[in-house]
Amino acid sequence: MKRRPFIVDASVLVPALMPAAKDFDDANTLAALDDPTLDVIAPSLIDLEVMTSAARRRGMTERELLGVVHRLQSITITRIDPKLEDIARWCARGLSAYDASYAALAEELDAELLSRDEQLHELLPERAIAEYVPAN
Amino acid sequence: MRKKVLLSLDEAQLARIDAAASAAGKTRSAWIAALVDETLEPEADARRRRSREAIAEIHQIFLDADPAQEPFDAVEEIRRGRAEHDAKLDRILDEQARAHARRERV
Repeated sequence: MKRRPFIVDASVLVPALMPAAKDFDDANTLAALDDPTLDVIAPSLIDLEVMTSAARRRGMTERELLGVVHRLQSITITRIDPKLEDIARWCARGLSAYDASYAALAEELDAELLSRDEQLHELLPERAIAEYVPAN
Repeated sequence: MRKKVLLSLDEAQLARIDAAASAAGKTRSAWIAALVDETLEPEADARRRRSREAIAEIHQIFLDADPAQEPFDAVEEIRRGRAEHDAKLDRILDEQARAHARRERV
C-alpha cells in the first residue's frame, strides 16, 4: 500500500548530498528515498538549487559538477512542476516563488512536505514535516 | 492519489481479468493494480539501488574535491542564493526602466 507522497525541498536534499553541510544527515533522507511504499517528488527547481549549492563548494570544477548532475538524475525523486496559477496563489500569501513551488506541488498532490525551512512549516502546518518517519 | 484511466482491452481479456479478480476476492482495479506492482517491483528495486549508489558517489565527489570540507549552513545558503538571484533580476529591471525613461525623454 502506497503512502501519501512526499515532496522534498532543497533544505532537505542539499544536506543529504553534501557532507560539508552543517546539518548533514543523509540517513533520514536516504531512508525516505529508499522506501518502496513512498513516492518522493520535487519540482525541477530542486536541481537548480542543488547545482547552485554544489557550485559554491570549494574544488568543484566543471567535471565534478557534471558528475553530480549525472548522478542527481538517478536519485529516486520524481520531478513534477506545479501549475503556475498555484504558485501565484502561494506567492500572494507571502512565499517567494521558490518556496511557493514546493508548497503548490504539495497541495496539488495532497502530499506531505519534507522541509527544514521554518517559513514553510509556519504556512503549511498540516503538511510540513521536519523528518521522515517510516510507516510502522 | 488514485486516478481513473481508460484502458482498451478485448472482451476475452476482460472476462479473464474479472474471473481472476473474483477468485482473488479483489475488485478489477485492485487486481490490475496488484499485477502492476508485482510486475514492476524488480525494476523499482533496481532504481532504489541505483539511487543509493548515486548518492554515495555524489558524497565522494564532494569529499575528493575538498578533503577539508569547509562547513556551511545549507538552509541559509539556499536563501542567500535565491536573494542574490532576485537582486540581480531587480537590477536588470531597474536598468531597463531607466533606459526606457531615457528613450521617453529623447
